[in-house]
Amino acid sequence: MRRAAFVVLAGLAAAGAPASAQGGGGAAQNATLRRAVQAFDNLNLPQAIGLAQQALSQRLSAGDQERAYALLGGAYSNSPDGFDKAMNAFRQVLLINPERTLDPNRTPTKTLVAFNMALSTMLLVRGLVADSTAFVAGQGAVPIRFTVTSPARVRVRAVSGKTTVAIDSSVQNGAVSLRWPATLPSGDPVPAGDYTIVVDASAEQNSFSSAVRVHVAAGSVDTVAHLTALPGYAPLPVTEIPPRSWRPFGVSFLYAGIAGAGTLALENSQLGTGTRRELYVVAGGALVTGLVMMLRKPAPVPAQGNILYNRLLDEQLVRRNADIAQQNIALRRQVRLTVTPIPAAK
Amino acid sequence: MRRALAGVLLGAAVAGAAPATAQRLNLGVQGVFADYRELSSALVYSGGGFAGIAQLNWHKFGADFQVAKVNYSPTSSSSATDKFSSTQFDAHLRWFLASGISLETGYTKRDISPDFTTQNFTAIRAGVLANYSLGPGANLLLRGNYLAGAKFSGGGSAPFALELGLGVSVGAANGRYRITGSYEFQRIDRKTSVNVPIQQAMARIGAAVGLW
Repeated sequence: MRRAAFVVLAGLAAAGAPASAQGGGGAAQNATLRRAVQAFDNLNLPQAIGLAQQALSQRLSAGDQERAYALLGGAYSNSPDGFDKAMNAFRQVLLINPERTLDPNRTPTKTLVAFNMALSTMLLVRGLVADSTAFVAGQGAVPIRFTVTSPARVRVRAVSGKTTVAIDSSVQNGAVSLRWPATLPSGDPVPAGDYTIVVDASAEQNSFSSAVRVHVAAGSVDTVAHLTALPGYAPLPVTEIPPRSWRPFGVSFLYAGIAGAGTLALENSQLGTGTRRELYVVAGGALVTGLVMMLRKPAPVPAQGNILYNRLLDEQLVRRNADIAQQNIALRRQVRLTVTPIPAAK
Repeated sequence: MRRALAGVLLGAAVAGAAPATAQRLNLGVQGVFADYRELSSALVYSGGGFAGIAQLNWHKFGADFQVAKVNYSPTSSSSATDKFSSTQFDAHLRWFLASGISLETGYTKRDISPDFTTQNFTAIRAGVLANYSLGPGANLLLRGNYLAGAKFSGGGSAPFALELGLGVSVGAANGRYRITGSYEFQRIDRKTSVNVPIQQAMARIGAAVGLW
């Protein structure tokens, strides 16, 4: 029995410690509140309640108020017939700090139940987060996440100066995930600048607003480089060396033969026969030229197949580059948006 | 027979360097040696001299103009005693057909000095020219012309007059510089009251330069 009582009180002490630690991020400034915390740590709950209420009647900072109400909630939740008072105290905590959470591993069950009951009876928007992201306008969106503690009509909008863009309006409860395309109703990307994403939740007479700030930067989209060659396809040589041919000598032999035979045929017998040295010199020159041209390495000649192939490659290259140019025209019209959350000022 | 032969177009002359389809002006100088016979085997001359050629090719058209100055002397076997000099002008105008074949027309004129040593001669030519490329910078030419309307200083006519030619040119592949050699053989069956045939064989060896 004594052991069980010790566990409960130890849990209370553990619950009180985070309550005080999470409230203002440090020790209480108010002396009365410090004494109340000390009494709570000593498991003297009546004294802790009294001192906390006494501290709340004084002028406290927001952090000390949160600590005081959290201490009251923890103390009442473990006091006989103190559950309602604990819920009220936790409501006050949540009004001061809607993001307030309790560590379920270090908090007594009764305190957790009281806290969650208080949470469920309130309309809060908690955990509003806009993730940092980068995307091409019209092809991506900014992820927005938050939690609504009870069913409510939730309106989400982005505000920057005179620009207000509606993001969503729907009835939500629990965890909500939205995607903001960061575009105006016209479809154009929102102007660059700082935006406040505001979440308004309303249910009957209750309403709650939460906001988070993001910075939207606009930049150009990378264009595609033009091609200088088709990958995997190399141009072929436009000339090729043909095989050696006897044709030059053959033709020169034919031409010289025609000239010689023609001369012999045309010579007039009445005029006698000359030395024909003119014929021999030139015909000999033609035959030697033909022989040399036959024996020498053939000169490169145009390779028609390769030329056609290269022309096809060039046409493909031109076509591909024209496509890239068209693609780049579209890319230059696009805007790359980079969204980064702005840390809340402390 | 001669009428039938009149349809045969054969002749000889060489037109310098460039292919028929090139667009180029060629200028060339040549050394000439020749053999000239007239009337019978008793009137035989041989000689040498110089020649010049200008050749222009433009698209399918081609033209060349040649002047040759030859000093003839009687050969040892000739009974002739007088020397003479011959100035021969040849014009060829061509129209390229296909595969190196061109149609050709033109004019030839040979002036003899002193007069009446042999015959001055003029004629219109018509024929074909075959141009074959042996390889880069080397060409072979074969020409056959019929010499029509022949006129002589001593009168007479020549219904059968043919010219046969063979030529070769070797040089830079771009046609800038070339060594040229050409052979032309003329047979002219001149007739007055008797047959007075004329026969000339001429070789020209020289060089040509392509100006553009």
